[in-house]
Order: sequence, then structure tokens, then C-alpha cells
Amino acid sequence: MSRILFVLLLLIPWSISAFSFPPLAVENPIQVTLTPTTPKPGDTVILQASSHIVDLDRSVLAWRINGAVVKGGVGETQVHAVMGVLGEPLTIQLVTESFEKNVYENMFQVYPANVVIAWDANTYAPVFFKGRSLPSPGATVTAYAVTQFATETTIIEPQALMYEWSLDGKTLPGGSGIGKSSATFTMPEFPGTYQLRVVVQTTDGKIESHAAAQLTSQSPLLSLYRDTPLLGVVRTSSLLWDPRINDAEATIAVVPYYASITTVKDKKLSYAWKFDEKPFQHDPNDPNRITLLLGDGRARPRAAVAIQHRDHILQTADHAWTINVNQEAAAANNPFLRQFDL
Amino acid sequence: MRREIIVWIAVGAITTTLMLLAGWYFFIRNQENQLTRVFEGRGFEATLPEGSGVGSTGFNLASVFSSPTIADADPSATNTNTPSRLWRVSVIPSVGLQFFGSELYYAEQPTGHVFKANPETGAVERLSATLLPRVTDVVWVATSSLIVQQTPSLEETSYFAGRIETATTTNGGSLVGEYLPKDVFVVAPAGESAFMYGVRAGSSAAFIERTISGGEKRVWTNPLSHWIIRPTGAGYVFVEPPSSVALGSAFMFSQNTLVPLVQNAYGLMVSRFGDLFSETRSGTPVLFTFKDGARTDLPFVTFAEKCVRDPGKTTRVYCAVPTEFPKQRDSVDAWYRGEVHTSDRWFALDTETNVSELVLSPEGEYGVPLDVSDVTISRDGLYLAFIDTITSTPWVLRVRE
Repeated sequence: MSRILFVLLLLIPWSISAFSFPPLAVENPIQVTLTPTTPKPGDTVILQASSHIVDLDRSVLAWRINGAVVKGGVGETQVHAVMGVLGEPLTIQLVTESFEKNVYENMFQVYPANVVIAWDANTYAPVFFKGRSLPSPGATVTAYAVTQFATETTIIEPQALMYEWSLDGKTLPGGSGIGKSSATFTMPEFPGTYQLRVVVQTTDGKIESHAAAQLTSQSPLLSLYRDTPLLGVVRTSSLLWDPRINDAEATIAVVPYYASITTVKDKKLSYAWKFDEKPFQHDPNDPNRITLLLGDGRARPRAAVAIQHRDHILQTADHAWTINVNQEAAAANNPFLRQFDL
Repeated sequence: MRREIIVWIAVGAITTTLMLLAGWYFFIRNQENQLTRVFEGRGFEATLPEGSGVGSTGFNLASVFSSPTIADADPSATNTNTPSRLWRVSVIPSVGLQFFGSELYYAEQPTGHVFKANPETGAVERLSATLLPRVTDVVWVATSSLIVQQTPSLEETSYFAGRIETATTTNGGSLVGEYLPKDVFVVAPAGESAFMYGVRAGSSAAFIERTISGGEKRVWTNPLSHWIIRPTGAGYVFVEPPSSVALGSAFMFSQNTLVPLVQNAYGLMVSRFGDLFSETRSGTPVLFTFKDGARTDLPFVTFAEKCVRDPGKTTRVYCAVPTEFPKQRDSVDAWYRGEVHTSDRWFALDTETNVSELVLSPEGEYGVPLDVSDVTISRDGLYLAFIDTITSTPWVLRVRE
């Protein structure tokens, strides 16, 4: 009886072990890493072999890329390779013979893929502005991932890919999942540079790529322009560049670039004008424009304007400009002062 | 006695009546003279403008915009004289420069009137007298078909797709057509008789190809609605709007998908014909192109929008190169906001040999600083046309004698 119990006691740990753990396998102690980890078509990649168990400096390593031996010898732990075109995988084979005459084989495929982030900040710029609307604190931004994914036989459509969007390491709410090639989010309320990142992969995880974009939010920027009856706002020449005015009366318009508004008359944006250091009452229905009478002998009047966004406290800006009035020309162009030969 | 009294009364009455009638006559005549003066003052009696290529409106506008700092500001001089090598075609701010043959077509900003100018003879002819105020861009589809962008205020814009009807008088014909949908935000030419436009539709943008005859085909939708589109022989180049302080990318639009062309570059700009690029490094531009798929940097420190490739000799590139570049990190943004301008010199570059030569220094030879943009070139490569952004006026430069 005691013998039977002993045998059972010996068997129990084995049975528990056999139930709890998979059968032991001899794992390959050599790892091959890829830099960059998610290469694009045409990228040069560095393949690096490493091991904590096998002394690779005393081992013989043979590298094959796409079936061809590219490098071999004792301690040859690194090799360079160039990724092919889209859909063409890089097949890597590494055969290692250790100093102890053990042979290991590593073999895997890497598909080149590419992601580029394009984005729009939903901030103000006049329609004629050919530059980019930049994000300001609290502004809404829409980002779009342009993807290039393919296998040997198929181009993988953007709708079939999995996306994971994050801003400064925090996953964007509702912005991740299959087919989520775009994300709309709000910039933090504090100015600064934030990293927008998207990781894209096939649903089987076989092909992966990622992209990042630096988004710098900044305060709105003010620029001042002449507003004339014939041209409207003189878009190509700011008074910041040429402050000369040759008229007795001039309408000037301030443009609040990059503020979170859709129109300069948006009630969310308040304007405070000053003319020669004194508050200047503007038309509340036309807050970004003032009309000045300049032909009164003041050669260098000073206009200043400050803006403040109602909802985004850090969307604020102010600027002052010295206007250079050509009094002689202004007087000549003043119909109430001009002498006519009748 | 009684009879005499009656006679005197009758004579008196007749005399008084005659005097009253005379007074009335002079009163009425005076009133008529005053009315005539008022009518003349209001222009009711003015004769119709005729007999001039640019029309009286052009001369009136020219008097508003003419600048005493530039020698050839007199519009009548530009209309009749053989132009000099560097020719200011009009003193009126203009847009939409496009060569058809060796003639330059353009539209005036204040009126939308369309003109053609002959750089050989200096003749300027008004093609359309239809008033479209505050024009900010024109995209040409063919010699008589164009899309006119009007911008009446900072945030309102509309696009009129029109056709110039043949003129029956010397004052120019009419521009007939229709406005594109309200939320169009970009228009680009597409071949000989079509164009592409982007229109906001809800939270995304639709890109539609349209022929002159009006047939439409939706080719793409995208959540972004700020793109610069340049047509090329192989399709379109889509570029994010440039900024020197934000990275941007350019894509080839092919088979309804975007294929990256230039990735993550500051101040990324593309030339009008989509074949020359520039990016900025600390605000200073680097010009480059692609040769056999590989990037090739060109030796000019300038924006791509100031350059054009000679269609007759594709290894020849003309660039307006600033004599001094604004030393600021946001150079592209500031240039687009009109806060900085440059004074440019024209250079030619052979991209095979990398040899460049000075073509003209407008400030050095003519005393006129020109900040070049919207460059185009005649098919024979003889004339360059461009807008000077300081005055927004159109200029032509003969590059070879």
C-alpha cells in the first residue's frame, strides 16, 4: 500500500505539469531585429542578430536575403538589405552554427508598407490664403492616414486596415478600429508641440506600419491690410510689409489667422481697437475693420488691436502698427480739400 | 373814354401775359440747363466707350492703380508701343496668366474683364467685358473657357465657369456660364477640355471632374478640404498647403488613390506644372525635382512657385531667385500673408550640366523690384509671364533675343 502511494505521489506533479504547461520545446535562442521596424518600400534596413545564450562572436552566421547568400562568416551579426517595391516581401534567412556546433535557423518575411499623415486644422484663414491653417490651443484638427499596403497579389484597401490613433501617447477616443483612416480631435488648451501618431496594420497583423506628425499649437496671429472698394482686402501686401497710405481716408482690416472661428464676424471673437493709444469704437457688426481719416496732419498714427476668443482663453493676440501717412498725397487725394480748376 | 380804357387794359393784359411767358421760358430754360449738367455729371450723356483695346474702364482703373515709381505706368503706352524686354502688361492688379500660342491671357482683379496681350506687338485686347468684381484667381480650360474665382469678402468665395462669347464690338464679348456649387474650395485644370473641383460635402470633400460641356464624374472623396492641386501629364499632384513651421507632404493622385511623392517636408511647395518642388530648412528654401524617380536638388535658393520648366527644352529651368531671402523661420507663411516680399533676379539653369546663367535683374537693369509668383511660359519658351506680388500686376519677360 505504501508503495502504491509513493508511486501516486510521484505521478501527481507530472500530471499537474503536463496539464498546466505545453510540452517543452527547444526555442531558437537567436533573435533578429529590424531597423526600422516597419520599413517602407525602398528603405534600407539593418538586420541585427543577437542572443543572450549563444556567443555569436564565435559563431558562424550565414545570411540569405530573398534566397541569395549576402553575407557569411564568424561573428557576422549585421547585414543591410534594401526593401523592394510595394507587395514584394523581403525574405530573410539566417543560419547560425554556434561554437558548440549547434545549428539554429531564423526565417521570416517583412512586407514593406507606408503610412503618411495629412492633416487640416479647422482654424481661420481667409479664402485667398494659399498657406496652411495652423492649429491653435483648443482648435479642432482632422487627420487622414494615406496608406500603401499590399501583398504579392493584392493591394489592401484603406477600409480593410486597422488603425490606432494617439496624441502624445493617449489613444484618441473613437478614433481607432477597422477602416478608421481619419480622426478628428481637439488640440490641448495649452500651446506646445504634440505628437500625433497612427499605427496601421492588416487584420492578421502580418503587415504593419506607422507614422507620426508634430502638431505645434500656437496663438492666433494678426495681420493688417488695406480694404479697398475695388479689390477688397489687398491680400498680397500687408501693412506689416508696407505701412504707407496715400489717402485721406482708409479702411483697414485685421485678419486673425489661426483663431478657432469660421468668420471674422464670429461673436466668439472679441476685438479691441486703439488708435493713437486711445480706444477706438468699431462697428460691432463689422468688428475686424475700421475706417480712419488720416489727412489731418498726423504723419505716423498708430493703430493697435487685440483679440480674445470667448471659449479658448489662450487664443489671444495683440499687435500694434505704425501707419506711414503721406500727408501730401493724402491731401491731394482728399476730395473735400482738393482744388479743382473749373 | 371807356373804349380807351378797355384798349389800355387789353394791351396791359397782353403785355403782362407776354412778360410772364418770357419769364416762364427763361425759368424753364434755366431748369433744363441745370438738369443737363446733372445728367452729364452722372454720366447719362456720356458716349459709349469704343475704339480702344482695353476700353475706358481700363484707363479709369489704370489711373487708380498707376504707380509713379514705375516708368511704364501709362496704359496707353503699353497698348501701342512695341514692348521692351521686360514689359508690364497692365498696371491693374490681375490674375490667371496663361499663354495660348504666344499670346498671354489674363483677367483684371477689380472687374474680371478678360484680356489677351501680344508680347511681340504690345497689343492688348479686351476679350470679355462682363463685370465680375473682385476676382482672385482664374483657371483656364481652353482659350475661351475659364473658371473665375471671385472673393467678395475674406471668407466668401464663388467660382464661375464661363465661356467667352465672340465680341461683336471692339469692347469685348460676354462671359456666359454658370456658378459652380456653393462650397467649392479648389479648382484645377484637367487636360484640354475639363477641370477638377473639390467641394465640401458634410464632413468630407468630394473631388469631381467636369468637362466644358457640363458632364461630371466624382473621382474621390476625402475628409480633408485643404489641398493644392497641380495637373501633370500623369495625373494630379495633391499637396498639403505649405507652411515653413509645419511638415507637409505631396502625393501623386493616381487611380483614385494617393501615392506619396514627397513626405514630411517643411514649407513644401510645388510649381504650377507640378514638376518642381521646394522645401524650407530653417525658413530657407531648397529647390528640387525628380529625375528617374530620384530626388535631385537644384542650386537655386527660391520657392518652387517662382520657377518654371521650358516646355521646348525640358532640361532648362527658369527661376526668379531673391537677391536676399527673408531671415525668418516662417518665411513661406509670411510670404503668403503678404508680410514679406523679395526682389528677384531671373536665372536659367541647365539641369543636365547644372550650369546657370543670369537672364535679367529687374531691379539692376530697370530699377524695379519684382517679387515673382504665378509663373508661366509660352510654348516656344520665348516668353515668361508672371505676377509681381508687390503690385499684383502682370509682367512678361522675353528670355531670348
